[in-house]
Amino acid sequence: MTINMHSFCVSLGGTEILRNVYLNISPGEFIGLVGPNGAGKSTLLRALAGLQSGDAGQCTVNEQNISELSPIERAKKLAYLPQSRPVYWSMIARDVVALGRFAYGSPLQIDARDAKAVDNALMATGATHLKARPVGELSGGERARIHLARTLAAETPIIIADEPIAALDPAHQLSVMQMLRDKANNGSSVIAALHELPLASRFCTRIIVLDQGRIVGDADAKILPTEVIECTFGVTPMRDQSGIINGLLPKIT
Amino acid sequence: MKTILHHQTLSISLVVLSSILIIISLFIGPASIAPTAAIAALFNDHGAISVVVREIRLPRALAAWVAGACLGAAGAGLQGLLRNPLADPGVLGVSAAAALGAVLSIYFNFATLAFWVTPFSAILFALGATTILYVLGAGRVSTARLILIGVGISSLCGALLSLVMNLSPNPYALSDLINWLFGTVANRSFQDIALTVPFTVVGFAAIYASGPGLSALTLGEETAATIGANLARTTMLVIAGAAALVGASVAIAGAIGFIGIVAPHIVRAFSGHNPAHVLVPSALLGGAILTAADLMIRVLPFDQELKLGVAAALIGAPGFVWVAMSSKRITS
Repeated sequence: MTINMHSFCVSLGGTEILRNVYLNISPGEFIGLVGPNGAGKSTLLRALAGLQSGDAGQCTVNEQNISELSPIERAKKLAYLPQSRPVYWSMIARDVVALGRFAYGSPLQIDARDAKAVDNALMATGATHLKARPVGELSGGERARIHLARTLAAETPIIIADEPIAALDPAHQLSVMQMLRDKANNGSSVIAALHELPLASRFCTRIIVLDQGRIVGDADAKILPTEVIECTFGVTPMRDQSGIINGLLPKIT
Repeated sequence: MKTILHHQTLSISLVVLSSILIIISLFIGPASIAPTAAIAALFNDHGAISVVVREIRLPRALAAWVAGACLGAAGAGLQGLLRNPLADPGVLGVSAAAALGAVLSIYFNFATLAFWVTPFSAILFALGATTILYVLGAGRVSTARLILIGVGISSLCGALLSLVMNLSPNPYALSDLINWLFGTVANRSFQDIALTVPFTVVGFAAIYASGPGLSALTLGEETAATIGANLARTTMLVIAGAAALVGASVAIAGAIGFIGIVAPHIVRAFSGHNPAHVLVPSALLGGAILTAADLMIRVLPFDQELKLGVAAALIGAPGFVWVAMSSKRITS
């Protein structure tokens, strides 16, 4: 399934957040959306998830305008992991993950297919051992994995994740990035806002650099120009022979 | 905290508890009737004893149970919608608004127009209060502000209620005011309960149907929308359902507070926090608690019977403070 943004603009409270964004995400792609704080990454992902309408331009899924989809249709096409993840009631972790199956029936009655999707999602995020615990008792990183599992349990062709690895320990950062890459390899379209440039360059098929609401870089991680990263982040990337970023240094002036 | 009982097991246990309490209610009252005699008088005509059991005690116990069940379900539904364990029809002023509606219909003689006017008027006012709360409150303001808005609505409706009573031509208005504000199920007949049946049935159905949407709302409004929940529908079901249930409960028993907080809170301690699974047990427990409270005030050795709403507040208000002290929001 293909997502397309065409000359998309968003202003919030008089401030331009996204300016004239063109974006195309195809099956098999794992896009790392990077940019400094306030660049507009979350707004871009919210727009892709159908939560933020634009002042101009379009956002389409398989050429259908995203705002024209019903909530159920949309939920079966794309799963969205927001950056802020409140859980107002301390539900059992497995019930929270099962909410990812909402569009397929009732969360009160999970059928065998739903149960399998939930179990697979828990396994993919390394959270199977947490499933019987109330989410209120979990640590921040454990809860983040439960939310990610909820997103995966929907088994949608499109996955939109806002900082999916922000609260995770290094081992889980690696395993989650590998898992998202595997999803893309199996034909999903994945886009994730990330701050971890080395991990993004290692696992993503493509990096999009957003700065002040504009896309300033869009390339395979290995060939993303060093100058773009230096201008946007004020840091200098260190790269191995294949071009993968394996460290960051203060910008060398 | 682990789940102690599956929500369905809890519901079955509460049905049994409610039945036991209602049966005990038949034995207890000013006239001492032995349990066996009371049961016999319920099914066969035993003269005066049958009149007491069938026409005084049974309707009274059922009225207390129905009113409590309405409040328990309305509380659980409102808490799910507002995502706040302190939401309660009494605390938020919905009960007071419903009482104002009922009193307006009675003291300005609209109640004589048709049998359904009083419950309907109570429900209409409850609907108004619930809508105001949702528009001003849901998820966007802090718990403290939501409660303050409720306190404001409650005080305003209480004041208007007093004003209506003062202006009323009816000399008994002031003593009735006490009944509406503090709640009682003394001297209720089957007819009083029957009047509200359409509203309770619709109310329970609406609240039950909102369950999946309320579970989704656990993740917040935006995420709930992205997983496919229809928030407009869920909101409408809870607001209309809670209004119908609170209106019906006020029409039966007057304004009774805190059942809507205490019942869901206890249910959560037993069978977890999933809002959809809290609804049915909360209704059953609300009924059981109010039936037990009504039993208690009949056993207490006071010259004048304690008002049911007072008994509920004596149990419920400390519970409210406890919930307020212990509740916290989980965010990451």
